[in-house]
Amino acid sequence: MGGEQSREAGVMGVSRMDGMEGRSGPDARPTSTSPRPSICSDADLPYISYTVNRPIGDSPKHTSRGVRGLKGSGGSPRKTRRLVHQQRPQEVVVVREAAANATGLDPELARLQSIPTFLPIMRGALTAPSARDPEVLERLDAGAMTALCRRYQAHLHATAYITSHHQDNISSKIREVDATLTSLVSQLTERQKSFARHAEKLSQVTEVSHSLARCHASLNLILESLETLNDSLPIQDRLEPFVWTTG
Amino acid sequence: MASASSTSAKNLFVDSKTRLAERVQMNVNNMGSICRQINRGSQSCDMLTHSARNMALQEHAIQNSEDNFRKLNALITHLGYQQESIQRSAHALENVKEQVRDMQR
Repeated sequence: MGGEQSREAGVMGVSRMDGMEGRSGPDARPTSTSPRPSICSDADLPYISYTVNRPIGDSPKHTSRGVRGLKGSGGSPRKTRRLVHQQRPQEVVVVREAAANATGLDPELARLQSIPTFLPIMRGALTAPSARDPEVLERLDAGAMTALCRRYQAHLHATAYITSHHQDNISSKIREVDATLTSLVSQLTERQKSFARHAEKLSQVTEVSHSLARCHASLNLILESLETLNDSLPIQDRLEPFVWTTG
Repeated sequence: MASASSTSAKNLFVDSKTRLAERVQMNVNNMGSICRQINRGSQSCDMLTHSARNMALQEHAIQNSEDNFRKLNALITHLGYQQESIQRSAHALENVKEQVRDMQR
């Protein structure tokens, strides 16, 4: 567009075009603004990304496209902007709508989003860090932070030591219990064997008593038969009455 | 001012954005190494895994103890039976003594 205007105005004179920079005065045609020499530098405004992505007023992207179709009359600059914000530019074709996160936000993402916006401490020190570093770093004191980290490390070490100490005590007690149990079992098996022998011997008592009873019965029988035999003999041949003498 | 940040002006600030991102990444990496140092420096993980492994090795001892315990239970029942039989035999012994006395008379 700037080239066309220069050709048209070439007849009028070159001097006017030199001063205009692509904008005709009386016509007041809204043209695309060529980039003026930038008056801002990185050191002063490091957050230009905000103005580029989220413009507060009119942005060159929107106004140039919107006005092309509508030959901007004076009364409707606001309406054009409103229409353009709602429509997409015609060159963009939506193949598939963006998928919204229906299952809910990931807890990690939620935590990331809940972080408040903060500004870095060293504001302008992106291009020449070496120049500003000692200035800013003097004001930042890392001593407290290192002390805190050291303390936390020591605390972790101490608690882990105590826990592992207790656990080792428990393990040694388990081993001790196992040893005592094995010795107990061996002692009791020995005792059980000897008791079995004793019980076997003592159980012979019943047999002894049975045989004693039989002896007793047979002895009585013998004594009776002895008496009857003695009585059946003639008086001269009778023996003396039988007396059980304890020898 | 907003019109000045057109497409060509945007290219000027891509550099600062990338540099900012680099610094942020560097900071995040430093925080990560601090945390790793704290974890490694206190050998908490090592000590705890060591004692856990020791504990797991006692499994054999615990099983042995359980077997011995069952054997003890069985032994106790056997000993009880034997004690009863010995007691009965001791009582029967008295009867036998009486019988012998009777026989001697």
